Amino acid sequence: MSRNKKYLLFFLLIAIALTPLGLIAHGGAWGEWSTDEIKSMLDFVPESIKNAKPLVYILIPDYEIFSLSSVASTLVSALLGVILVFLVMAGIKKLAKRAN
Amino acid sequence: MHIPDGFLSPSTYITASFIALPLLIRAFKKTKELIDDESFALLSSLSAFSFVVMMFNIPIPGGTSGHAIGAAILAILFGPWVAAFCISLTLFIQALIFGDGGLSVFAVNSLSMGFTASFVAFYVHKFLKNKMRDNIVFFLSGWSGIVAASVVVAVILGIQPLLGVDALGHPIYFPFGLSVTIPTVVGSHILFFGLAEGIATMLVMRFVEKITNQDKEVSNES
Repeated sequence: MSRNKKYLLFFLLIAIALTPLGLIAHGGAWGEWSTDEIKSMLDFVPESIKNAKPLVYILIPDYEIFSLSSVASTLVSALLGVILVFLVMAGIKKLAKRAN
Repeated sequence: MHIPDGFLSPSTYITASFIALPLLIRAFKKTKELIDDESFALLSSLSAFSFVVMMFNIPIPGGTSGHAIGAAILAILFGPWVAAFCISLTLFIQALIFGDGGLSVFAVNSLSMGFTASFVAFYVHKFLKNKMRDNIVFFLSGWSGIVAASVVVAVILGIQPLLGVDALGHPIYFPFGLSVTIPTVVGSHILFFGLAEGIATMLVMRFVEKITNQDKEVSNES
């Protein structure tokens, strides 16, 4: 592994390790509320929001993994996200090579 | 800024999908052209960084939170099309696996955080480069990219009350209008999350410059 790649790996591992700090923020993002939160703000839930269903089964909703603590869930989710990004990018690189 | 399922009218997300599809195809082609054994590590690492940095929620006064995107770094280093593709890939994984941002409204999230943030950051960088100190240019690229994305999100959310009400006169989709969304969404990005994106851009660009220069020195020596 070149030095360049070692630094990048180190950089990503530090970034992943820091993600549980994001749990300090208790409030969610403005405008990304759950139906309960909207209900408490407005006394009603807009129809489309009430009836919203995800198009696919969500494997890890809100980065929370069943039976794991929120810190562990966050770390595993971050690692999984990083691996998925690398897998897709590797797939594209393969496609690009085949095209040449 | 990850808009969930059900918050937007079908007319909004279907229109957005028709706009985003050809853009995403072009962005994908540009990425495929650029990616090779040499660029792969940095490009993938910075795309992965964007996934991670979006999990890094920063609390702000008023009880809400938000995060940086990491779009400006990719845009400055690889151009706006490649950056928009990489951010959109991250957003797609977030929607598909983690339910962060709705899959049905993916095109809207891709247009705001992917395309708008990347293109604005790229052109701000291009325009200001060599006119100010590098650090300031990096900061302003990141800041303006994410603020521009927040304007798109605020407008799309804010027009929803106009697009449908039920028999009781209650909004069907996102319930707050532009007079609420613009100050809240854009305001919080100008004051807080823009700073986060600006600082992240500055620090990561410095780090990338350092490791790529070192690499050049090593290859010059050998």
